[in-house]
Amino acid sequence: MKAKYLITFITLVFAGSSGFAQKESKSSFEIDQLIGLNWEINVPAGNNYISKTSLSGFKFEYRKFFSDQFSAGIAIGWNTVEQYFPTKTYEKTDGSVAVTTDMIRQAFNLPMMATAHYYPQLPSHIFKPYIGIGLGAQYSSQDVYYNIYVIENDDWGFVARPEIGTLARINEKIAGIASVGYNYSTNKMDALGVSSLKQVVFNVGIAFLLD
Amino acid sequence: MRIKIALSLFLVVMLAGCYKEPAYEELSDNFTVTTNRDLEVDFGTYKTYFISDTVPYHSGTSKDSMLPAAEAKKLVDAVKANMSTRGYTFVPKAAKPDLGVSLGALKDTDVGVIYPGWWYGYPGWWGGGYWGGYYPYYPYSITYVITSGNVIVDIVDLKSAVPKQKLVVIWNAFIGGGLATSTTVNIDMAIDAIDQAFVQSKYIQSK
Repeated sequence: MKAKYLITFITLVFAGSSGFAQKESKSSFEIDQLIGLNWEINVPAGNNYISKTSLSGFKFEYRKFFSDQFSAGIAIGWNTVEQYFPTKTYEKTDGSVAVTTDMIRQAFNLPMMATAHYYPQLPSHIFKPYIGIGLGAQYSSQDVYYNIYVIENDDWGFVARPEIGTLARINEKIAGIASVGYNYSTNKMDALGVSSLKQVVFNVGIAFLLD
Repeated sequence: MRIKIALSLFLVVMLAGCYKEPAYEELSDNFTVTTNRDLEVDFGTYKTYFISDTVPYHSGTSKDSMLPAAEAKKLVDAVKANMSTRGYTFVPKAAKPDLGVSLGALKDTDVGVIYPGWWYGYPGWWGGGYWGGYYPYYPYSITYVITSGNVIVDIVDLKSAVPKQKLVVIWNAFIGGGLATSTTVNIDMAIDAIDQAFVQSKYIQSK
């Protein structure tokens, strides 16, 4: 299902862009630098710590354009989510320890990345689609609350986030941003056997275009 | 100016949203039940056991004492019922039981680490000269952070005490959580937790 959304999104971005290209003039969509503020939605993908989608996330980004097709910058985000797990018996793999409890798992992630984006040259002055990558470090706090106890876990990991999206010009100074990416980090949670975190990330936001 | 306002708002939202208290009300009041076992032990080789009628009670605000007899009996009976279901026969100390089962209760202690077996030597405790006077030895490490109420159940291998020259705690149940204001509710939760400790330890079965 996630893949279907992704494909639909990519198709809309590029089809929309070329559609406008046929109607609009051939003038380019040139930007010198931008500051982006994004709402971030994180959908866990393939890790067993939390399966619930986080709607509480933001991303701040800055991009400096070195040409019409390339930009580099930074991105800092956060997202948080908690999920209730009903009573269950958790057993150590060797069978020596068993724990029965219900629990609340809470996650807070703070990715900090250097970013690079490529913008295919399309003759639209409304849409500016892009593909990009963010590489950096991610702080992750994963706490497990059960009865009156808590297991606190936090660490730093390497993070990589490829993404695809588009800018949509609103006026000379402001553009919309929409993107989808895949966030992979090496953060761990040994108590629950989590060795990495993976999420599909959706961003919707606004970009301030700077001179 | 517009960018500055937007950035300020963003930072406020970001900081405000970083951490939030979990929805504790979702959690059940049931005690958390943790069991540990000695993997080298075959529980099927034991036939008999002994458990004292008294339950040592440790509180951070008063001197160590014993749990009132009526409450202790309910907990002891819960253990006896489970041991019987698993095929073990209760015998008096004099009959040289294969296993010794002990119960301890804690309340309102604020102790970072509890060393299991603090109650050994209490009146009514089954230990003594017969088993060579050895003190219990835990083949695993247990660290407890205790802020409220707990019940601890140990099963000790008495049959091998003399040949091994030590009392090995072959099974331990650590039951804990927040206490209710009603003692009856707490005892009922403890009984449920003792039952759960046996449910998640199916290997405790006499052959």
